[in-house]
Amino acid sequence: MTPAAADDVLRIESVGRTFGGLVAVSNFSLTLQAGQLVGLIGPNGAGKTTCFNLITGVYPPTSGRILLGGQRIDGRPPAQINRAGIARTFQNIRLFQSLTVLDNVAVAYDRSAERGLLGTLLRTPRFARLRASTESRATAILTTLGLADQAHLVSNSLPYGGQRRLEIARALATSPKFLLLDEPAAGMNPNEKVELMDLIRFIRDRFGLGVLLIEHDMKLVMSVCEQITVLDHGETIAVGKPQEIQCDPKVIEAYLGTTDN
Amino acid sequence: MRLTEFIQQLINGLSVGSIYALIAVGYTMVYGVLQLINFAHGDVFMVGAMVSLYAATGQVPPMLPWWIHGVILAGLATAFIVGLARGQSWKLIMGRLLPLAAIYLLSIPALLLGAAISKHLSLPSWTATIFVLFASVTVCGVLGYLIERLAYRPLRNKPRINSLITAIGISLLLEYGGQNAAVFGATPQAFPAQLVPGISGTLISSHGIVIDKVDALVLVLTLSIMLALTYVVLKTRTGLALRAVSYRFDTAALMGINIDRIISFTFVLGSCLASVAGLLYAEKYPSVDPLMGLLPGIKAFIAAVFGGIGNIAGAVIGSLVLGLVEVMVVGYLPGGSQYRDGVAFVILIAILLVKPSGLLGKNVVEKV
Amino acid sequence: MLSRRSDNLAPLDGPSNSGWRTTLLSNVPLPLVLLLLFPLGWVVQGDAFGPYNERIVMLVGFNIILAVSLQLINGFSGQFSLGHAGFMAVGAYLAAYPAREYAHHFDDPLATLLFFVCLGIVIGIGGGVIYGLFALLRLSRSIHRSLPAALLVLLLVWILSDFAQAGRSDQTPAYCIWTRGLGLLAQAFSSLLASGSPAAGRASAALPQFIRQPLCFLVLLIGGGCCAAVVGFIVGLPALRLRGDYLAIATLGLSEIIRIAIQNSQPLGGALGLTPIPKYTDFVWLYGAVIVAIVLIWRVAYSPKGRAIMAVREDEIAAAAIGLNTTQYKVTAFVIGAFFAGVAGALFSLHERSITPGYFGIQKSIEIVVMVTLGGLGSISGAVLAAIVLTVLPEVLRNISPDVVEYRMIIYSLLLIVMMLVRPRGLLGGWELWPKRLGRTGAPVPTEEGPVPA
Repeated sequence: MTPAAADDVLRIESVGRTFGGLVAVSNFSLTLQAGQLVGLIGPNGAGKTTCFNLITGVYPPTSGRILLGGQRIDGRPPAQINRAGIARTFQNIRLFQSLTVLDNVAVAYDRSAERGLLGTLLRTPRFARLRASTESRATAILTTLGLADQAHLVSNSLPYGGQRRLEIARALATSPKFLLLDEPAAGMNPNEKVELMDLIRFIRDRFGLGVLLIEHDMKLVMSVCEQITVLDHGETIAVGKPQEIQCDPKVIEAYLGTTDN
Repeated sequence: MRLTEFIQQLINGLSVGSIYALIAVGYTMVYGVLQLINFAHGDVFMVGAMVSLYAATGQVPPMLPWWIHGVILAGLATAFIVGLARGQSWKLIMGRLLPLAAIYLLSIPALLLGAAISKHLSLPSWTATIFVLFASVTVCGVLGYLIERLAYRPLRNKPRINSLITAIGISLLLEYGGQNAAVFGATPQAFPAQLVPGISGTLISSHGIVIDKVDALVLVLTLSIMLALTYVVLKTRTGLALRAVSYRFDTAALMGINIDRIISFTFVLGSCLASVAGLLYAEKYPSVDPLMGLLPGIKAFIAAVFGGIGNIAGAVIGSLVLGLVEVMVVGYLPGGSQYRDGVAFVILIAILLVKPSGLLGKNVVEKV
Repeated sequence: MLSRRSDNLAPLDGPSNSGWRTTLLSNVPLPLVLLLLFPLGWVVQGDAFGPYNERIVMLVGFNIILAVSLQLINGFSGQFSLGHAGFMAVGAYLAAYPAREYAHHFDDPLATLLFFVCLGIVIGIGGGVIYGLFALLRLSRSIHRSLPAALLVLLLVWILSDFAQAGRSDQTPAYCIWTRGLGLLAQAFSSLLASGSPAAGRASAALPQFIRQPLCFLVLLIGGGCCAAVVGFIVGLPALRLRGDYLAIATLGLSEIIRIAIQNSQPLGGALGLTPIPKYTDFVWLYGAVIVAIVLIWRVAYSPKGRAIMAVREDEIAAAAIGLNTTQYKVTAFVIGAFFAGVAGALFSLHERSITPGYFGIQKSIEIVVMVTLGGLGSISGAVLAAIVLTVLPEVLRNISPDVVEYRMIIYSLLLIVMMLVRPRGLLGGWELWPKRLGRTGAPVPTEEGPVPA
């Protein structure tokens, strides 16, 4: 996996999304550099996952544009956006449940299996080599994330924390330049959260990725992120460093409400 | 000349469509509540026609061979014993099995009584009509209840494909069971033309338009049933519960709605409507055989999909459109009568390509 | 637990034997197994075995190919197809027709090949026209979103009103375009064929005698399979947008449309069917095809391609999120499944001497779906076992006692219902009788989804 080049930048410019009459996101802007760790927080229903969906192409934005390395990616299908270098995890874990742990990761390398029906049918030497190299690369990623000894278990038999790590492993296997993590610490106990924080920092250092993180756990977000964007009702209400955000009155009001209501 | 011909075809199409509508509503309600295509529904329609035939002609309804009685009793006993073995209380088990046992025990004297009455009927008469209607609706309602209770309820939490296969199994069971000589036999039988007094013959015959009384009856009956159904669904508490269940299953249960009862109600209601459709169909095309439910069943389902499955108004509209298009194709296309059955499938493919949620359906988007 | 800042990645190169071991192990046993078929065939087709038993054995063979090919679509790809009989029909008719007209008692393989090539060219032209229409529609969508639907409706109304008039005069434009267009295609087809046949015939005569017939038969089988594969492609594309029950009904509808189209086609014999068809299929050919089908579908299913197909089945959104082209995998499953169904159909029609469209209806599709589901979704061995059991069982029941004959199909349907209630995963849900090497992947694990949409 090559580290992201210094000029790979993810630029989200004034992006908005309306569903029928409901404005889910309006005027959302963000710039993510390689190696940066940015947090996206806000109360429930603020539109954070919608932003992720817009970036990764689940649905197109109704306004604004998204650029990756200078190229527009808004409106493209998710598979294309992933190949351009953006990977994500999901709020509700979406593993390939009846596949094994190893297969969940290995399938990310199967993009090259799109050609080669003949090789599959005839079991050519090239086929065997490709299959073996896929498996060793997948095992390598599993080892990095501490899942190697569970490689042959069916993936939905993993404990919850393991499943979340597997999702991250699978995302990493697509050699992304940017990693979008949607509430990766949800449902974890404090120990696991500490390990997760270390893992995220390690991934960012080791692979040079830009990481965008949605989280509700303030401690985790404040300690790990270099910059934070706060959403409320689809609008950006604050952007800045963790210390600034913690004191911002608008943020406090969004989360806790004001005294004169 | 051409206008009157057109109006004639229109009436004809609406008539056919109305019959499809009665079946389609059953499909759409069950799908709305369970997200299940009840493949056996078309065969319930067939059973309705068959029972109407028996009731109208005074034939002795089939007595099941002795070993089936044995199987049923053994099944009840096994369910009882298994329940006890699992540590459930007497009352619980009895509560579960009582409806089934009651149906079984009551069915024999009921069938005998029905046979006796039907032998003494003189056609045509209103008493005969009411009796035939009553018999057909009752049998199909019970059948619908049994199918849901025995075959679909145990699979409610399993993947949907299992329910689909079971539905196919029940459909096959009804078809082959009907073809068994002890029950009906494979050869079609004719439905007596003189059931409802004054039903044969034309209603209006002027300016070149000929409207049969049968068609008028079908239209009027279907319209009134639809109005009654709309009232039930929109204005009664049961209807409200039904709509709640069709939106969110588990939440409805949490709100105190008895899911089992609502689902049973849906099935029974749908089956009753299908039986009326069977009776009307037999009146209009007086030939009854065990496989008659296949094609109308599929067409009714297609109509329900076309109109938006889960939507009762959509099912009705879809069925009427389908009936009209079918009749128009036969009437106007050169060589069209060969393509009559293909029309439904072409409509299906078209709607699935253009708007899979149907005319009145809403697009349910998966939350990511 | 976590390996922190670890740099010890495993080497990325492949096995030291550069893959030849796999190739040899996979491919060498195959011809040996095929050779075994000859003595078996001699036994089965001998007098001692009996024609009745032989017929059952042959039926089992057809059903195995059908079940295994459907398993790829329904089981591994998770797309509930109820239209497999349609693919079989395409293969059957499009092998029977050239066999009657162009093969000259299987003596002219190149003319047969020419038939399929010409067919391909003509279908290509027709397909190009339709594709152009769709491209135009898509272009109109960029002008306004509702434009395509409005245009379609207008077109439909125009066509229908025109056709309605066609009964009275032949000059109506839409009807003319339709009949003239079809006529042109048919003419192009027959003239291409006619101009090439003599040369093909001479070339065939130049081939050595002993390979002419087998080659011709092979061309028929693969040609029929390819035609079915094209239909599978046509079915697979719109199927992408549908899920679950909708897909089932759509595939059922398409299969019925195919059947009705065949039924109304005079060159294909119409409702009375096509007869007589020269017979060539025998035990060795059939079970050779069975073995090849099982091996090839196994190889597709338990390979990276198969793994991707299964991933798309498990969660399409997640699969797209890791860069998989979900369209490609879903359509591939349909195409490969349809191909083998077409081959089965071709084998069938060249065995039966006559076929009718009624055979390839809903009931046949349901039969195969039952085999696949009872055997266990996602299990090739299960499909094979179920095909054998469900083909043989009715015949066995037929022989037990005359009374049981009447209840044969009733018992069959009861068996279906009970199986679903008692063991929903099927006989071998997810398991195979042979090591898979890909770990325990395969069957869709019954998730606790119920009627509530996820």
